[in-house]
Amino acid sequence: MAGQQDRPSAVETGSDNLVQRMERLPPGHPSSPYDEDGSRKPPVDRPADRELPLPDERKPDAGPAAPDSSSEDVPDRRFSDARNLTAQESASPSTDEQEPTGQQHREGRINPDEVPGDSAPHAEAHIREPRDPESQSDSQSWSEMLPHFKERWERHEQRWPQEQSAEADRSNDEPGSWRGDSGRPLSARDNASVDACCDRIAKAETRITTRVEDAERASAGGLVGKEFRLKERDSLKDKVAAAREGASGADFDRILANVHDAVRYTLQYDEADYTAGVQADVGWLKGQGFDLIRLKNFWNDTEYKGINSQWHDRETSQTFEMQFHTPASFAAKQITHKAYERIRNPQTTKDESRELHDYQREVSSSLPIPIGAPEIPEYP
Amino acid sequence: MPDQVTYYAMLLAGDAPSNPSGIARRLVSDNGGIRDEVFKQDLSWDHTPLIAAAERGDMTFDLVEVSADEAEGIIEGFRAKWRSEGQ
Repeated sequence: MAGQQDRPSAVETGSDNLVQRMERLPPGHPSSPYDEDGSRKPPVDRPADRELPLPDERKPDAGPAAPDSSSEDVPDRRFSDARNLTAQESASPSTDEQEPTGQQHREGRINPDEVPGDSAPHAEAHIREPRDPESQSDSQSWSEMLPHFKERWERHEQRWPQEQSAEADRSNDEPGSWRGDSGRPLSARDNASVDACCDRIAKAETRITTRVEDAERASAGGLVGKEFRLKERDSLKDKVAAAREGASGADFDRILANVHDAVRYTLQYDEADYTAGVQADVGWLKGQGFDLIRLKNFWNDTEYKGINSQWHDRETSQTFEMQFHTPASFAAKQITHKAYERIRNPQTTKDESRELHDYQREVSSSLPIPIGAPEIPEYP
Repeated sequence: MPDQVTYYAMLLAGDAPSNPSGIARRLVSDNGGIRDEVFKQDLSWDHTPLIAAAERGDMTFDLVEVSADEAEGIIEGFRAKWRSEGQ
């Protein structure tokens, strides 16, 4: 099992460490140097540049631009900046109900009070290998493509305006049954099974999350979209209803037992850390009492890239999903989410569906691929 | 011109490709238009999100491409099973 003791020790200065951790935040995080679309934010003044002079430091000829910092009405901006940073990190802007986003996570990891190289269990995990120049160039190409993807999606929405879906007709449904907006039903018995499953999951999830967070502390990556770890009940029911319809030869309980992403997490790594990080963390998760059921490598696939895995928790008997992404592959998943939602919609035409698949392929094919990632072995 | 059809056996954990839990197909028209369908218990084909979900990393099913003849055999197996179950 790979452990934090296997990782190199920290030799960074405090400011280097903070900058590097900020670099590792997902695009769009308030403290990330990158916007949500992956482009680098314009440079901001250093906090020191924005500091007001102390009264005894002010030059006699200082103009009116410098307010009286001794006034109680004017907060000391040095502290104000620090408070803003904290507030921004705590903010959790919600963007998508069903899909995790990269904006609300790892609040604690950017804490400037963290002392690099101290005894914090995850301190050693923040070491970064020197960046591979080729991978840096790939990342830059990807960033440059983002405005194009955005524009292309806007064109798509103009070309294929989405009509308001008619509400599903539930007038003849049996009491206790369920029918989603897609129109796929669950019988009263099946609906009760999913509800019971959701209740079990709600009890198990906290115990799983605690240990997943323990693994994160030792990880070169960080959890992203953690607040979306529990699939919405209706979303789970819609998924199960679709699986029920498709697996017409299987028992319902068996179908339900094969849906492992009612609890799901995403670990995100810098490209340079990805391959080693994923392999180390698979070992770490095993050490937390989780058994790997399956691991599937999608880095060679055309419409989605990343690694997805299914786990069984020995303590709660609950299964869950763990995805492994880079900031770019995670962003690609978000960028194409609306396209995917349209593909899922039964009312989407064949012609639009073709364009939606093309869009997913184009975004995916532009992604920088971490060295060694496509060779990470699948399981079993 | 008829659609190009690709069939997929849908496997839950423990299924063999010859005895899957379901059967799906992707229809691609000559202009590239795409429609995904599953074979339902009422013996009809209907739209499904399951193929696209698998392409996007969903692991509920393993989709294994099968030939049209193999697909017909699987469908016949389902018909026989449902007949015997009185459905």
